[in-house]
Amino acid sequence: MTLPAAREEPRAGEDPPVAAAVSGGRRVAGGARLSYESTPSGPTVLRRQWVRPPLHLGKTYHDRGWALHQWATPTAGLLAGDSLAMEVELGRGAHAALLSPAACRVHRMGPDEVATLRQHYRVGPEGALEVWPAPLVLQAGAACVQDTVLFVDGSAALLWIEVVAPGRSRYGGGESFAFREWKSRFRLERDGQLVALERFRVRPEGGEPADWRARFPEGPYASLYCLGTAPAEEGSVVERLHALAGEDLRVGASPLEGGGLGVKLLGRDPLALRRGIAMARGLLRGALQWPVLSSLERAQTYFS
Amino acid sequence: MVGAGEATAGEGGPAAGPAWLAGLLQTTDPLFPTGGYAHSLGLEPWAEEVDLGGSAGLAGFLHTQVGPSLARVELPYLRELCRTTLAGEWPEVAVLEEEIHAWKWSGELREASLAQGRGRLRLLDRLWPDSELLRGYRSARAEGSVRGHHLGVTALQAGMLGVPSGAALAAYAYQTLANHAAAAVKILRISAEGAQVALRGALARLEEWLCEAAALPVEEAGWFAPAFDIASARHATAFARLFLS
Amino acid sequence: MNAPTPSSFPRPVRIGIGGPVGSGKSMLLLRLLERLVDQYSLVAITNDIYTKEDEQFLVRNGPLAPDRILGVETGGCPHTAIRDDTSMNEIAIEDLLARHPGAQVVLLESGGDNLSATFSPDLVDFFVYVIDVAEGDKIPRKGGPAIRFSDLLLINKTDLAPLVGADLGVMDRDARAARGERPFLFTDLRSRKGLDQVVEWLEEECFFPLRPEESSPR
Repeated sequence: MTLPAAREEPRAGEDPPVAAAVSGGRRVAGGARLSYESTPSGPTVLRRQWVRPPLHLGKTYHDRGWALHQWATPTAGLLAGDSLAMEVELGRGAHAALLSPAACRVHRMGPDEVATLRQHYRVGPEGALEVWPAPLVLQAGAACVQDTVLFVDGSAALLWIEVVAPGRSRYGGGESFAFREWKSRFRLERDGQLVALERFRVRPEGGEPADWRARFPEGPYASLYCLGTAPAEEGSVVERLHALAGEDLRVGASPLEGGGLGVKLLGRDPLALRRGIAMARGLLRGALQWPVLSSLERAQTYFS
Repeated sequence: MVGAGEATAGEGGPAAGPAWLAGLLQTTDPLFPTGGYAHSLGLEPWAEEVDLGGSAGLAGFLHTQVGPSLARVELPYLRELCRTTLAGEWPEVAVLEEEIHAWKWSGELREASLAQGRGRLRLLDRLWPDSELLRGYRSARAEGSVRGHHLGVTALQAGMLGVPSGAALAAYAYQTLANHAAAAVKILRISAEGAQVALRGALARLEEWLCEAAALPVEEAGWFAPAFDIASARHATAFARLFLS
Repeated sequence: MNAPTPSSFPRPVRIGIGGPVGSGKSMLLLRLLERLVDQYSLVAITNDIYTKEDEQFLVRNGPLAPDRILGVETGGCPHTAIRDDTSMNEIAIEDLLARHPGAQVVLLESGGDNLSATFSPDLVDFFVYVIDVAEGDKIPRKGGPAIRFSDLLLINKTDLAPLVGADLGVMDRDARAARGERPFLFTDLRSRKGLDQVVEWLEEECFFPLRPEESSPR
């Protein structure tokens, strides 16, 4: 089966799509629409919210002016036909961190069915956004379509983390690359300029992705994007990121057009990757000169 | 207007084949100086990463990385670039080149593509100075709307020489595979003949990759190779290296 | 400082510097920059196989402003970059001349290579080849296109001759035999021995169309 084409992503300046509030039959179509604003007194507040299952959003925490939010998919995860849409907007000067401490599982489904995960973020001038979720787990027989678009103002900062596990490492004798299909489109724009584009369809049945599986046949993968670091520092940050690599962890970092870094990690197992992400994230947050938010660190139990 | 050297696709001489053939052979020749010899296009770091070995390692790399990447990304983009360039649709060309630029995640591979594009453009300028298409592309590049990626300049070259899109795609695929085979001789434990054996094996699948590319809309074009990307990025800070990418 | 005067040539004079690894190419370039920087508007290109080591050496030690120096990494084929496929060096020259349109002299140092490496006549106007006595006094006798046909041959590090058992007399005899009327010089560029003659040759044979500036931007 071939997955349907992901929806055409909006161009810069267009509004992101509205999440469907439909929940009919066995399929669930929900998500969240969140809008953050900075207040004259300083802290960022969640000005508007709209949340529907399969997503649950925790209450807002505040730490050093940042708004912190946990989300989770407390149902079993994403089942056949489910769709989850996140639409997040940060106004001028707003600082927000979103995290999910529990993995989002995509379950086995029929040969003509998929689950869809759509995420659109817009970070306004002088804003700062961190997105730090636990892994997306592609279980045996799963098919998943991801569509991610980030619009970031030139004066804003971003730390985007995405973790994908190719199966349940502790399931039975281990489950790896037994999902049916993973289709993803990722688009990162800064000031209207496209700075990163990822688009692919992976069908493990044919041996894909051969390079990942040749390196670590069962290990998970992470992708990080960081915007807002001082360009002069990027060279040394890249070197320090590369120094994190070892036999159980591979790390590659590359400068993006116009400043910023893309970082990819592969781990031999979830533990190795978790450690790698924690160290890479620490380096990038340091380069961004963001404060340590102890509430955020405590809340992200998956990585602690 | 068709400038000197801009032939119509399919137009041919009786003995020497179509009129565009000589130009295509010349511009596909490894001696055509575009700086390609200095790039392994990711082979050097990948060989280091997984200890590719010899001829079998090169063959595996061509079959599982280079060929599929051509079929699913570069050739669909080249096809669209050929179409839009020939029509002089420079804003469309610019969008396609922008996507290629953003898709090349490793900075070294991005730079390699720009450097080879620039080298090829320079020589096209010298060899076919009267081309209207070349003038159009140059002017779009001077305005900053197109970047001059190797794929973009290859499409321009095909348009200038009247090379049909299918032949242009096949030639580009051959050139890419052959470039890896040439680099392999300096990187792997492989003889020149061993590299040719691996290249021949890959070329046997060329038709398959071209067909796959032909069926893929450019909006769907993409390829995922995270371990290869990681190795390519690490090459930039490697202590010792033979190639620029 | 005076603004540089554009060369009366349609393009700046291009001087290539080639030679085996460790023969003293970078030292020659450094010494030439030191001597010529106040008279001519110069730009310099260094070719390195793996790194931009030579570029950094010049930036650290040389008198030229960093934006007048460009390092070109040539990958595993330094001779290709100066002879068979010069596109990377041509592009580097274009970039430097775009920054400094008044440049009068381009000094281009090749990566270290074997005795058969020569420069493309499209890339440079004159070609200086540097060998050194420590490679053995048989080197001039081995010939090859660079030793025979370079515009100037330098036999460098003469102070090491007694230490490595090199006979300068033999090298003199063999260089004459290999080069005929073409000039060659014995030098020790580290201590600037022979440098005056090298500069004299450059000014007579290569820079004749240029009018030395009283001073020029570094």
